Amino acid sequence: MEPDIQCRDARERADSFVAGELSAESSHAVMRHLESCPTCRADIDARRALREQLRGAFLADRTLAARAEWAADLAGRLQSSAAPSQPAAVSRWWSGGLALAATLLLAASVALYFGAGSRGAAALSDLARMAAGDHRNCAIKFALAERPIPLADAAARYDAIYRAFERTPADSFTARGGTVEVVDRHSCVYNGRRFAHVVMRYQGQVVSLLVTTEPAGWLSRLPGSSGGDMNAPLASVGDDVVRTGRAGGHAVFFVGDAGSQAVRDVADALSPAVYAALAGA
Amino acid sequence: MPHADRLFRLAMWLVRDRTEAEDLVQETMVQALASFHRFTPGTNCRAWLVTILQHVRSNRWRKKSREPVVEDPDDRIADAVPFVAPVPTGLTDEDVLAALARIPKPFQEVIVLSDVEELTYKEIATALDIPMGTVMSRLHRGRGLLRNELATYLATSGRRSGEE
Repeated sequence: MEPDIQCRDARERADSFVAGELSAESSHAVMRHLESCPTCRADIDARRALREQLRGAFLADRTLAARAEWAADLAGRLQSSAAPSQPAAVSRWWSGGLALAATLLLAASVALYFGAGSRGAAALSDLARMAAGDHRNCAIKFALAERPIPLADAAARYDAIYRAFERTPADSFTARGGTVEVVDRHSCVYNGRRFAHVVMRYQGQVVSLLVTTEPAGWLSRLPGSSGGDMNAPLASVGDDVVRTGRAGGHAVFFVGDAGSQAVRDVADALSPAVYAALAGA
Repeated sequence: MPHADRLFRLAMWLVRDRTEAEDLVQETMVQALASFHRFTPGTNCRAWLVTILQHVRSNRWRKKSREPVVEDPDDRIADAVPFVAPVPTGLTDEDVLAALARIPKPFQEVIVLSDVEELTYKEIATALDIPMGTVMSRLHRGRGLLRNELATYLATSGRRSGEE
């Protein structure tokens, strides 16, 4: 433990203290001093306030904002430049790399909206929208409020069925157009709803399998499908397409980039195993 | 693309030219995408992007002027902050940004990377390719300069700075 420090020391360390850059001991020494020194406390508060104001001002300043057209144009360029993306070690790819790469790839518009004139989309329930939101925020943006947890933990705490997705699907399986690789499995929460989430990579696209407990009465509002309907239609949600299904009191979603065959292929290849696992629950 | 938008603000602040900033960020994102397998999982990806941005920037600068992008201000301005004003209060956002823009660039840079981008000292050192001790001394002096600027500004505009 560091001995008590004086005002001068406290001031010298103040900015590093505010930036969270002091060692635990040093930081405790500053805190001890602050307890007994209102002057230094006020000084630290003012430094912190200035730092926060600077950050807020910088991020809100309109002269520094990017043009929307430029952002959209860049998103397009990145998407086309990344088309032949090279495979990387699977686990490494996921933890951060996936999120980043996918963020770079995808278009600026993340907000989920219903495309006008799309009847499937209009019929899509809140639950499917949540699944698409989770896919996008978890698998694509890696921006969830709550950290994903292992499926086994989620199974122990919330719903035993989550454990089934530790093994289903296999780490690598074949779909119509090639091999699908599982890059991560976990349980995550989006908008207050918990999902089992299997993130897969297929033909350079990220496809999610999301399973959640059916809230009473919700599934009747889902479009089209029940059971493992192989021909269930795809509904689009923003930039994503979703195929929904239900079994054993659970809702199943396959979500991926719109405009590609990936979701259909993966869902077709995977549905029998997934619905069998759910039916056996 | 939240990363690109955020990175653009930084680039725009640093180069003060929209076309150049757009160019810089585009090249940065393309390079990031091409080399994301080199990104260390679990580390701060914003810091990684800022590092690439700095590389792109200094490469261009060298091509243009055959001079390093960051002149070392530390000797020149060493101890040039004889008096540090108390942290002023009651400032508008415009006051704060205007004062920041008036201090020498290398000091602005570390302050923005620390306060706005919330990079650690170590991440700043990597991004700017300078020793960590230099980051700390630049931040220290830079903050002093910033406070003096703000105090001067408040004094001339008839407002008062906060109490020590």
